[in-house]
Amino acid sequence: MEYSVESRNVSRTFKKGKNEGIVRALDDISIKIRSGELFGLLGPNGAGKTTLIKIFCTLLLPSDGSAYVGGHDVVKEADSVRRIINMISGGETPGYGLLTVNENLWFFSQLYGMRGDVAKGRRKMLLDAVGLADQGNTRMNRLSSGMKQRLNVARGFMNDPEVIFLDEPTLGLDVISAKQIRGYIRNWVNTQPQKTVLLTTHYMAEADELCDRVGIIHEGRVVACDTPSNLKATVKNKTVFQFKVTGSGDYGKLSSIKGVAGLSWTHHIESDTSTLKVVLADQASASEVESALTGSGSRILSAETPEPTLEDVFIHLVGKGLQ
Amino acid sequence: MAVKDLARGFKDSVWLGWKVDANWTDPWLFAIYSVIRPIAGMLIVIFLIFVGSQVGGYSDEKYLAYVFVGNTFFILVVQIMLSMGWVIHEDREHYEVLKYIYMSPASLYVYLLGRACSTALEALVSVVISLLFGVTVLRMPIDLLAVNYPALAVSVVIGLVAILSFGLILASVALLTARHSGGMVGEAVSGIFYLFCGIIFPISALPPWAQTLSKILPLTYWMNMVRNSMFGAKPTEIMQDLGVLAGFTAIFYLASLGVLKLADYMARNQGLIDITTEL
Amino acid sequence: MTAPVLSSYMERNLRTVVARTYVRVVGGFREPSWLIWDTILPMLSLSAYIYVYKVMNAPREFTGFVILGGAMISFWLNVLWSMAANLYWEKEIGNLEPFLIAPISRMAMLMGLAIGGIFNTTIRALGIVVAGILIFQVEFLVGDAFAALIVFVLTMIALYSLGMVFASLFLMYGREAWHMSHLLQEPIYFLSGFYFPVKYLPFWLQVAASAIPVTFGMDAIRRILILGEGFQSVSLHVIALALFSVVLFVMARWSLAYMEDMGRREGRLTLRWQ
Repeated sequence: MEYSVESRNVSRTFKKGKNEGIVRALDDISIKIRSGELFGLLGPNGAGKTTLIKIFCTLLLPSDGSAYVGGHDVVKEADSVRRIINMISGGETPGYGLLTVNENLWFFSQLYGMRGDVAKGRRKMLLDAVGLADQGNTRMNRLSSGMKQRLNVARGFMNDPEVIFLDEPTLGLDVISAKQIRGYIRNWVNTQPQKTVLLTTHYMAEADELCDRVGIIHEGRVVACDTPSNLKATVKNKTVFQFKVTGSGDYGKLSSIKGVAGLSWTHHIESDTSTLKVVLADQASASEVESALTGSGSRILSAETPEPTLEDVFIHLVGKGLQ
Repeated sequence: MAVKDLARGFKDSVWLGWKVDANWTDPWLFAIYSVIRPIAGMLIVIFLIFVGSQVGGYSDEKYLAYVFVGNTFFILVVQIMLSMGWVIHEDREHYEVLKYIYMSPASLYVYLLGRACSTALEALVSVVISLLFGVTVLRMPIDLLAVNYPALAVSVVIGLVAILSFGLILASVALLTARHSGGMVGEAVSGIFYLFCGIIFPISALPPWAQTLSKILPLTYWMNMVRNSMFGAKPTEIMQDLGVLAGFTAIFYLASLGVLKLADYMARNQGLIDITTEL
Repeated sequence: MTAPVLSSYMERNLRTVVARTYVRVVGGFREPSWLIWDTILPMLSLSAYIYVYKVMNAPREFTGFVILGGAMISFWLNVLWSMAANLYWEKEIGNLEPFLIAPISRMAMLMGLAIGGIFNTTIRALGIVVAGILIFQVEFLVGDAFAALIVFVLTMIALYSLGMVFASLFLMYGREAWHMSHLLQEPIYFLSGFYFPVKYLPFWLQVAASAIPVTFGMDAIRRILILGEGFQSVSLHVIALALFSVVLFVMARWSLAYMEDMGRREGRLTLRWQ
């Protein structure tokens, strides 16, 4: 088995409703993930990340193409796939409110046929790892939402899967919890070279920090796939300018300036300023951009050329930001 | 809160109730569904009478009409009780919207009332369909031309106020209970009325202590009024029941306001507004 | 920490059955308000039917029929709402995905639900029977306890297999299935003879009723426990229930696989708020 997770020309369409046409959630996706790899799928909301994960997890059939996990066809050998996988959806909190944390984890361990002593050992280790060691006897409906999400992470690793699918696993978590979870994920892959992780996220910093390779997905298509450093290198011959300006506005019209390969902006309400990231194919266009900004009434507070990030790569490839 | 806001909130709640109940399927399928359920319920009771007359030798057309009218109009009670037993659980645990409704400026009372009224309107349609089915297909001994329709309208309107008040009390209690009991609570509570309010048998068949209870339940008088109206009674024959019904309805209406306020406080105190039981 | 060795298919499914039963039973007793609502209050509507029979001078055993019918209705309602609709609830609270990606038979999960449901419902049903004895002095002339047990077990297998078939619909459909369950309440009460023997129905309705397993179970239980009849008089019922059990079990297996496949194809398997 050469690849741990593989899709070959996978497409997926959905009917919108009666006589409302179809939506193409995935379009001819081919990715190959080796055993031991932590692969990231980066893209904005609605790009198709969750749809692809559901296909790999046997929850959804592809409309076209084929997909394999651990060498097993997800359509024809679904049972074999299920034996070696698990999934964690960020923001979800599956479990039974009236049962305790320990009981919930025990329950999910039984779906994988784990013996009591083995399940107990893993449960203790995982609760420790996600910071819930002292909550074992607390009923789930008494946990905070962050704690429930951390419990969900523990649940996902209970069966020690060969392949784990993490669909935005740190969504909604506080900074410390998110860091803790990322640390656990990285450590899990590092210490067990035969394990594979497919992580979806729209946090580019998370993908940059964790992933061996990143696939960038946009409107159902993979537009790039490489290591983070190689992807960032693709914009090295482009210049990324970061402007901080006063006020806010519709900066979309700046993309009509020749030499502007893409841009994104964020408005900061508290300070009433905006941060614009502009990817320039031609550095000479920078002065035109500046003129356009000042001409629209904004005052430029700072301008710098930071190191390119994955978001810059995304902007360059797609023309707009991730958020 | 301005009357205009309350009225709009009420209208929106009625609309929401209709959407939740009806938009799961095509209108014609919903219509079939709305017809089959009450008719099946009616057939159970009709056949009880039929079997009873076969094995007990007791046969009385008036009693058949008595049971038919009682059971048909009781649809209003069952549907509203069932709906109000569920609405809190549905909004709290299923759609997870209750906390957002609760913390908005909208009145929870008006919201629940709107949901209840939506069910009441659907139930009224079921009542009409059942009446027509019973009279035309099952040949129930009711003369639709002899019905005192103005008296019937008054009975139904005042009765609905009483039923809605009970429904609101039920929803208030649901704020404090778990989802898995929600489904049965509405049906179970309507069972109290079914047994004690002379719906399908005269209350004189009950033990004395139960008859006392019957006399303090407004729906007993409501049922009398409805029956008398359906059998063409004169207004003077209905007035006494009307007076008692109106008095009790006022008491239970005020009680519904008080119970909701208390349940609201207790639920907030115990952190139950957004609880999930997930069994 | 050694990785867990994946146990055999049989062991995984047995553990799943035990685990799901645990959730249903233990979880149910942690919020015990249902013991009151679901046990005592249904007696009210049952009592109403008993009073109708009293008004009509029906023989005493009809009181027993109503009580027994009420007890059996508990199982029917459990099948419809706690079993069939359960996958719908699991989907809404986010539990369905972890179940569906686990290497277990869907029937194992539902079997655990069924066993837990039967346990809780038996308590409810016994409560109704005891209330019937205390309040209305219902007399049970148990003809053949062993026959009663066989009938009960076969009825439960058939009934809960039917519940699994319904559950499969909830995999694919949302509120349509929910309303279908609603639709099946009263018509089944009527057709299956919960409150009166089906022999009083017109012939064509009796034929329709014979397509419902609980009709046979109800009639057989009634004959044994109220009328004091023996195995001989319910032997045909036992054969019918056994056939129903086999057919419905097989149908459940097929239906679950078919509906799941359809759900995966149309992307509705984990779609909420349908």
